[in-house]
Amino acid sequence: MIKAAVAALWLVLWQLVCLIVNMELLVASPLNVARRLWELSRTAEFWKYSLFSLGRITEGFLLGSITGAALAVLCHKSGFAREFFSPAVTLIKSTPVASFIILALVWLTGQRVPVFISFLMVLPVVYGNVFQGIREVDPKLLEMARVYGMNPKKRVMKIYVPSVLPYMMAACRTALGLSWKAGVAAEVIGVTRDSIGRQLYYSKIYLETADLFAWTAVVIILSISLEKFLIWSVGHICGKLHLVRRDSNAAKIM
Amino acid sequence: MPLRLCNIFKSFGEKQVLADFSMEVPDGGRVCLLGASGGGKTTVLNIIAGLISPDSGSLELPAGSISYVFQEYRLLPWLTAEENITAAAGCSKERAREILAAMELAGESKNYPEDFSGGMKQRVNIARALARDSALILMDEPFKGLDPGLRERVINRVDEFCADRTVVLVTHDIAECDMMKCNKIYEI
Repeated sequence: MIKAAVAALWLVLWQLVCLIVNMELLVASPLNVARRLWELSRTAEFWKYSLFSLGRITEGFLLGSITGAALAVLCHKSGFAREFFSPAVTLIKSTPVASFIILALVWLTGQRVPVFISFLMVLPVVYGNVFQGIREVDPKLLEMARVYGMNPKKRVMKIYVPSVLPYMMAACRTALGLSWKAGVAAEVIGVTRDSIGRQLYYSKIYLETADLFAWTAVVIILSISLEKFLIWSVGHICGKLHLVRRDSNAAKIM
Repeated sequence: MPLRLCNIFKSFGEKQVLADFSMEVPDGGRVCLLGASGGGKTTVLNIIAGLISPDSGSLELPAGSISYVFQEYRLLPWLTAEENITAAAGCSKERAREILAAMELAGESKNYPEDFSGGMKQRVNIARALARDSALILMDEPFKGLDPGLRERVINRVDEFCADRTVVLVTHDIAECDMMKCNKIYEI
């Protein structure tokens, strides 16, 4: 109820700004954006571009998450690996995303650029959080596992994974937003074929502000939907594997 | 094979916790380590469990596995009471439920440690140790936090489950040594 009221308030504020500015070219009204969104959603291209962008960014996100988590495990196990990869991770974190996009445009074909950029945005976030999570595993639980002779597989599944999971989930939530922002930016700069980014680029060229707002809304909706799906599916799978509480308090851990 | 600790020395930094400590427990015997806090009782258990190494001295362990009733419960918060026992002790669900019932936690097997009181967590901690088919059970103040009536009943059940096993009990309360029928008391 409160959320709906807040959303309505923001819509009113947007409409007010629109009325004050009184130029559709600068600020499109909520009604025009909704109308444009409705029109776009009735075309096959809209779904094609949305699905292709969703696919690319999800691919980059998954690759970055898996690689980041694997790298964190490796760096926790090996001091040499930690020293070796540390400058690379710092470099990725501090380099402007635009530099990577331009480099990627030189190295890769247009379709792969958003995947690569999403991957690069996700990797250091997941790596950092998972590494921290592994370090924070309660040593007293590990001692208990040692005394009770729990084998390595059991230690991983019963102690490490559930302990690291909240860190991993926090990283994924942050990284998902980043991957959408950077991935769509890569599509805009690279004018990637069949993408939301390309439509955003055309909106700018043809000064179609309502289109720009409508496609931005699509990105936001897709990003939020993907995040909700991720949390739901991870919670569901982890519950089945007994990695989180399976009662009403499970959300606290996620 | 008896449990034997000979001339054990252990220091943490400048502080010497154990100096020339020796102890012997025959197979199936029960001993009690009694003394004030900080005297090194938990250190003795941790040395026996292999969690820390002595600075010098020798240690002989009975054949078979070890169970440990830790002072701080050490339960996995994402597993139910029953799963905590089966995961660590490697026993069946039925066995876990049987021991939980003996600890007067029959209706709590599907609940999580976070929802338990300190006394309930402690009984799950005890149940986990008893559920393992171990030759040696280490108990670090296992009955702390239990109210008197319950404590007596739990001690009687632990006594039954520990039959033929070697037990090293750490406590501040000499009455617990008597109730657990300890053969020998080491004051440290």
